Amino acid sequence: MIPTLLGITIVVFAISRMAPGDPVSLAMGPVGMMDAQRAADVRAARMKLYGLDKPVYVQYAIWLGRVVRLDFADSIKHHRPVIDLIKERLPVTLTLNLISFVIIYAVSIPMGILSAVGRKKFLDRAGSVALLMLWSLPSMWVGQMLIGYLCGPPLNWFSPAGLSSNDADQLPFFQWLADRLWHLVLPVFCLTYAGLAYLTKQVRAGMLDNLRADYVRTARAKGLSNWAVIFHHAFRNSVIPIITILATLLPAMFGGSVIIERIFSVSGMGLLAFEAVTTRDYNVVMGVATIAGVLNLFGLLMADIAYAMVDPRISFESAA
Amino acid sequence: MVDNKQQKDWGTSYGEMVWKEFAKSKFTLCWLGFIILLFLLAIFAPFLANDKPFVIRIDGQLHWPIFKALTASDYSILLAAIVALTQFVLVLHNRKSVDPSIRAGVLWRQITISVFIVLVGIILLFVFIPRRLDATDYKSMVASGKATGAVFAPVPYGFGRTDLKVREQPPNRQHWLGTDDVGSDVLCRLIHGSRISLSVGFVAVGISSIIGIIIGAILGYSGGKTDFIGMRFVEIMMAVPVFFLIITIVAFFPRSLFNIMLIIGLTTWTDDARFVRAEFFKLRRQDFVQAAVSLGLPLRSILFRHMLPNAIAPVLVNASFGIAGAIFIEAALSFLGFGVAPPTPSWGQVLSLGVSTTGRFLWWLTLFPGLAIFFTVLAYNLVGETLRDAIDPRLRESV
Amino acid sequence: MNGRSGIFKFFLFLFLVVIIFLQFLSMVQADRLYDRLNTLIGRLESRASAPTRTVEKAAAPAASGLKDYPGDDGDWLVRNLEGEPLTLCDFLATSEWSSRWIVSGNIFESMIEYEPDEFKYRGRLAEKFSISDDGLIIYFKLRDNIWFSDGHPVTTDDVIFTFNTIMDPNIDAAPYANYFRDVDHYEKINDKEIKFHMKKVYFLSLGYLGGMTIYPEHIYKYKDAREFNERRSNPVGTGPYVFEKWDVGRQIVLRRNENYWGPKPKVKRIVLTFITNTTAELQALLSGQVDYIRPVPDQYAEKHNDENFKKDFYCLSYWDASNTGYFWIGWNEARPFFADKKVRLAMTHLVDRQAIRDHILRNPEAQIPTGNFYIYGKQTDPNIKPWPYDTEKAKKLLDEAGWIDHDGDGIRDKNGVPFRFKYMIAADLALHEQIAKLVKDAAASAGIEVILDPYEWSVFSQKVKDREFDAVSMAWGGNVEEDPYQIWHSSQRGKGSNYVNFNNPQADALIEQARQTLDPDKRNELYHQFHRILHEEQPYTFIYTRPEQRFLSKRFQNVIIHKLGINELEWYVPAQSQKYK
Repeated sequence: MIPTLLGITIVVFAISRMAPGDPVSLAMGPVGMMDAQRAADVRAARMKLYGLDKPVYVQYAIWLGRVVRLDFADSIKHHRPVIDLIKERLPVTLTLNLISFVIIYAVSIPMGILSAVGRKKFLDRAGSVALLMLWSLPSMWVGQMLIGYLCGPPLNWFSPAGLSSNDADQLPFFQWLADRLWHLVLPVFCLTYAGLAYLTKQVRAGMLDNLRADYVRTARAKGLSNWAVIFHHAFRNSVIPIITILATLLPAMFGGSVIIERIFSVSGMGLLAFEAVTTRDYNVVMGVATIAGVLNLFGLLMADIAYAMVDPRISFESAA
Repeated sequence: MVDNKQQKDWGTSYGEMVWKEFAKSKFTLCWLGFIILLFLLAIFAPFLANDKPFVIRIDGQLHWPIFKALTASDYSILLAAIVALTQFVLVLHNRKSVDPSIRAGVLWRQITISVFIVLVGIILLFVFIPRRLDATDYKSMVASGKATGAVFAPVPYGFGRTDLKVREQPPNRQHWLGTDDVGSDVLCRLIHGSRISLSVGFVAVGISSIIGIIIGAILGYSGGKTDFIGMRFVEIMMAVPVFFLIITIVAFFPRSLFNIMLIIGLTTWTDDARFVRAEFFKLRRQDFVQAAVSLGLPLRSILFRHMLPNAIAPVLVNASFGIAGAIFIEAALSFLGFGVAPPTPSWGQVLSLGVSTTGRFLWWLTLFPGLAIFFTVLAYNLVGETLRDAIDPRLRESV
Repeated sequence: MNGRSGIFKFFLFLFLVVIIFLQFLSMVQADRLYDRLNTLIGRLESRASAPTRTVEKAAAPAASGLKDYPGDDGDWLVRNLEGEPLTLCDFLATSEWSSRWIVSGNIFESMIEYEPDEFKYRGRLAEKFSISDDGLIIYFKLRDNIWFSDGHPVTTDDVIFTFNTIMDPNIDAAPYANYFRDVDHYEKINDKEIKFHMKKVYFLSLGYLGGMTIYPEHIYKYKDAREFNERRSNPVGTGPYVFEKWDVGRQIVLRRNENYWGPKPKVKRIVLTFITNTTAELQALLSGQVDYIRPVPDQYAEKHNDENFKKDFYCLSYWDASNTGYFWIGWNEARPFFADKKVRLAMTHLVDRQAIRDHILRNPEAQIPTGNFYIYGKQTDPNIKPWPYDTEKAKKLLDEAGWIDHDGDGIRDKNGVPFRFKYMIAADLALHEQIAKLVKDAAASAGIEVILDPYEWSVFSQKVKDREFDAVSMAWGGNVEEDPYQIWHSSQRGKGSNYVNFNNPQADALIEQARQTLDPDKRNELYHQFHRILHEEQPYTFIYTRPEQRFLSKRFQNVIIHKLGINELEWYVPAQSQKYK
């Protein structure tokens, strides 16, 4: 795990440093208020302040040393510890993603099973195509249309931006919760529908695979009830792709969805990372990448373990 | 003279079998037709939507503005189309006249030659065809009577021409799909934008497939330590947030279509690698592989001539989904402002203009590009899914 | 295998449920924590602001000679800013105008400010101010009855502290310190009077020194510069509002300073929100979530003609003295294309600025500037008219400059170099992109191939600084009265803000002379000549300059548009229409 983590940090570090521009010049901006020499002095002083004047590998070593002590340094743009920034934004992203996560899994597993079990060919095919259509909808299109139609007058069903209304913190807990949830509906919807379609298809495909298998026929021949067949046998064996998807959903989660966050003005990790990249806020980029990397690896590890536990065909010995 | 009409009973090859399964779904065939239509649109774009006429008579002399203004990339696309068509005809010909045992080798050779011709052709075209600029206002020449006998393209607008007076107009008789924020015709931009979307899809997926196959094959075959280290590397690539990687790299290199294709290709190969690796794991225990190894065949040959054809199925399926995904990513990049440089048209870019800052819903700038992206992505997804079902032996009815 | 996967799945499920539950709890906890923190800060604040000396409210207005604001007390003003400021210390933030708006004038005040309707200074914290005839001594006398929001009186020690802090090299205020490098030393006369001795004459020195926002020494004094640099919040000043809280990512709240030495504003609270998406911002205004926003030109143009909209909202359009900038396209004279002024003039003739104003900005009040000065200010020569849009003239000029299409490929060339250049813009700025596309199309008809080169902002800034462009489009902010030195003097070509390598010895001489001319009439005469040179040379193509635009809820009254801007402190909401308590 550790070498992979190191690898991730090196890659992100290298790329963010390779990109032209640096946070100091950026913060200073093309300001027409200073003369040449003074500007050069100011810039040099600031670079020194942030340790950006040292060679790249030295900077990396310094950063690594701090991270080991769990010190992610300060954001150059915000002048605050990176950890604080992440702590503020992460719950937002987590909320959005966990809710969509739960909805996706809660809805698609039963839907997938049902659609696999259902017999009518036409409905089956139509359902499959409908899911594919859902999956093919571009999220920015959907988001824009939703805001355009549902958020302004005359409908005013939902709020166009943010996670809470202005005076939300003055409300008692349950009303605050209701207000929060009201704001969350649209962003969660945009995050969910694609994953829903995808997972339903996977569950369905896995179920279909297994339902046609011999051992299911045997089970049925033995006289097991339909329910038992579906759940105890077919479904258990279709769990593999579902687990794999869990592993791939986690990275998407912690990157956050930049587009959704941008369209709905939600300050989450996605926007944080996006802004950090565009303003060359190195410390934040590295902090987000590291944490995202750790969580990713965690997800992958779990998936791999689950994978190996469940499928005896796969082994990791070297070729004979 | 041997009567070649004598049916050579070669049975059905794997490709034919897959095609038959695939063709069973008329619905998907329609969508395949849609994809072909899109290709035609992309190939013939400069002839379909152009502000210059095909032919025009000025002062008694005939001019051919469209043809004169064709760029090297236009010619390259035509060349690639012709070569691809030839290759397709050859494949059909192979089915009838080439013995199946050597068919694969013949096919490989043909494909290699085709690719070679296309690449060399592209290079030569770019070197020798000069860049021209022709901003003559032919329409006003016709209107003022200076020129006669002009035959214009069906959509008589150029994608880069601006006309502030007709800015942001909904669909009308002059502009069938309306205009965008500087007065360019939307239909024209969508037609030319299909080039971007389709080419991004293909090249990006091509690059990612090649990388994924090579890495997956090596890892899957070797196992053990190589596999372990290699998989860590693959995991690193998977763990790096792709979108941010793309944005960072796009900022680094100058804005060009090829760079975007390259970047998408370089960051999405991990799925292919995983599939190929999984397949190779299963395959390397099989007899024919052991036989090839004991015969002392070179590694390259074992991997790519013996094992790969059996493992390629998931790659092909994933390729179709990959194209859809690449189109998505390109649209998202253009939407966020990181796509191709303006005024090159891209569906995502037109989509980004869809809601004006006043919240006024410019429906024609949202609906049409959105539909274009939606249908294209849907088509590729459908094709991919049907292909997957066709390849899956368990779904096949007995031959 | 049977039992294993069953148990495994059960645990997986449990794990997920637990995570969700924990997440839920942490959300609640986080919010509660923020609330607690905010109330804590609020309590500390109120303790700090408890007056340490009795406040003679009755005496204050008379002593300061300032009029009371009319109207009913109460209500909040909810304003949306386009971005969250990074810090509320206004000289640590360099290009963050939003934090300046938040604190200058509201929380902090300066010694002098502009009159609302004349190009003249008047005293705010200062009762008297003057500059000696030779320009080398600047004098300020603070008012007698002024104090910070905690009751502590304002003295020249605070002025000195502010000045020293700005000039401290360890304080992250180098760009701002730049304004004061001509100061030789200060001389404290007594608690209320102070003199600044300047090294050289500079007509803007009075404005700079007087414009310093005064920080209380007893609160901000520091041992280690880091303390000051990292203090981003809880500003304490003399102004009519005090800081109440900052919910990071959501809002900043200012509360009226009940202890204010001057005439108190009527609005009790100012809430600042940070919705960045312009569409969402407008929606928020329409739904009542915010009261006051800065619309983009398209939004203004559309709503301006919407009678329904105007029933509930003001469409304010005014020229703002502190934000009089302009949009320009710069032609890099170090490149072969633009060294010749005929070519630059030709490019200007190719840009249909009228169409830009009418169709893209859709703002009839926008003007086409001919120079860099504020178009309604005294520095600008009103007799100079902008060059017209004339493609034929452009073609003629290009021919004269030697750019002719020799090889018939439709592109002009000279000495074998085709006229094909890269026009650099910042990506993601719609206006820049639209104007760029227009220029490209127009140039094509004149036989010039323009390649648009968008870069995201960080790269863009870097390239501008490195002068790596053929042409670039940008905007400068400006002031009612400014010094063109930094942008136009030839000494600023390498590392300064003279990005287009403009080098004109006549202009240099005029700039230098004007800097030292204290008599405004003589100085403006020099600037008129400078303006004429810019007009002939066309180092930039000036595209537009426009008034500030705002949308404001109509429940606010006494909204007056002054000659130099608007004053939010004057507004009030009649009791029956008040929305917030």
